[in-house]
Amino acid sequence: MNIYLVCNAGMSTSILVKKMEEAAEKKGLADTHIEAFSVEVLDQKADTADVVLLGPQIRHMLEDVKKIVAGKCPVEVIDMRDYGMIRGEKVLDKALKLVG
Amino acid sequence: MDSVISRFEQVMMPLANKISGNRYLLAMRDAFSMLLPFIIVGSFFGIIEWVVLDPWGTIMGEDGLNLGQALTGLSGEAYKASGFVAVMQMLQGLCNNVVTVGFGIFSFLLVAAFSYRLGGIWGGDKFATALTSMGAFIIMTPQQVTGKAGDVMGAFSLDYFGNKAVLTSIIVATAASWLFVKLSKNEKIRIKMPDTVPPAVSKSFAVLVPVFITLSLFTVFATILSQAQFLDKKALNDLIYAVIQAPLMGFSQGIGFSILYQGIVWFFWWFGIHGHNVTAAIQNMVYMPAQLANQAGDAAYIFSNGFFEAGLMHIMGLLIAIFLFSKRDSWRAVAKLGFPAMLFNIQEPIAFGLPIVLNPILLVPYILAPLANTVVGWLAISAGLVPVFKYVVPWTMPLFFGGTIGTGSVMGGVLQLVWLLMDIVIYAPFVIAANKMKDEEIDEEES
Repeated sequence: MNIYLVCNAGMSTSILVKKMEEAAEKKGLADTHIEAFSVEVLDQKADTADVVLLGPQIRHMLEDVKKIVAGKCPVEVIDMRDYGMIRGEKVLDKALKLVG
Repeated sequence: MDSVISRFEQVMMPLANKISGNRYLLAMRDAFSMLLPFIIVGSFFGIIEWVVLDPWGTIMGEDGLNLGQALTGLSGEAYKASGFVAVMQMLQGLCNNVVTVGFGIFSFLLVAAFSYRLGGIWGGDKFATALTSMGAFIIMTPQQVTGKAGDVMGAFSLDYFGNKAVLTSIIVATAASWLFVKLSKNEKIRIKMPDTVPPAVSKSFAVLVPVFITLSLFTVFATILSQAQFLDKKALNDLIYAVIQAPLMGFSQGIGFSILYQGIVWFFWWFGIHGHNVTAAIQNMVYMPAQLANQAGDAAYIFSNGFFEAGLMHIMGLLIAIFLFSKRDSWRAVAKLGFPAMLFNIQEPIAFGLPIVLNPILLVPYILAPLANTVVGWLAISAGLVPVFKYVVPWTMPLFFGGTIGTGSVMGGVLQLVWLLMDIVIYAPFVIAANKMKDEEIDEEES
């Protein structure tokens, strides 16, 4: 399963990715691949995404990101507090729930 | 208070969305991003060439560390004639080749990158669009240079490919890409090949007529310009620079506009909207060319990309103010959590974690601190205490180092330290005021 986090440069979300990977390991989810990158390269990676999560600072781009993804998978904005407090487990849970 | 904020948000969100979502501006942002590695690499070689290797510069020269004399035992005329200086100058030439790529031909690379992305958003063949635009740009560029002896040679002047041509690149790329894509989509003028012909061949024939028409129109336009000579200018770039870019640069270098720009950026950020993302068009069209001009030695603009990026560290002032004055456990915890990221100017953890975002008590310092930095920086550079920001460094370069490398002088680093002290003083009263708010109020929000 591919969980993609996008923000402006891919920097701030990459901090969250590390925490999410730790949480995934604790849950024993071996085949979960979590990646962070800039929203600019999303069109190249949208095909392999199972869920796309947006950094809250680009939440105004939600509709455009949904257009880029074109319904291939769920797209949601990460909760501000979870993002700021780098709550890897909470964001991971949310991602897993979206994939269903 | 909440209703005022939410009403503001209702206006800001769609506005930010419209600006960021605008596919044209997005393509422009993407194009500049694609070129950033080249600017950084070019800048790195620039530092080596002008600061490290210069036989009369900061490291080797008499006015600096005088390593040149230390290594050769020579000075004055003997030094000038030495093999050491010859080697240094050869190495400088080596570096200069790369500097040309990042700066000398920046606008040409921009035409390619921007047209590629425009082709993408407008539904044309991206690479064909890029190539056609590059062709159009060359058509609009004078293709002869007059040597010192008055002889005319077939050559291009680097003047037309560098920072002075940024606006021209944007305009030519837009016009050429739009024209090319529009024509490519027209079935009636497309040369169709039978199915038996390989796809690569039929593809190249399919774009033949659009390329023909696009380049023809551009050469007609270029010839009209060189014959009519508006404002005594023969080439498009000279005209655009005189009429638009130069005044625009002058206007945006005013302290008023710079304060307005920073105010907008950080106001958006307080709403949790990426302020730099939304205003990227301003940054790319005005402050980036200023930075490139500084690097090329053409100018000494105070307000450049590097100047504003050096000011990103104001939030570190908040963090230190929290460590010094905050009595709230939650704030101290978040500050500790956000500190490693903030060392590299990544503010999101603290912005969303504290939060600063949509937090009324921090609105004033969050905007005041960067504005204060802007004014103090402007005064310091105007007074000659700090050099202008010449060398491009990644925005994540930690404070003091970013300022030092960016200005090529330790005074740049000192400026950031002065900013830091000032920012701590600006944030402190608000941190202290926040002490009076109980942590339970925050816990209520969370549940």
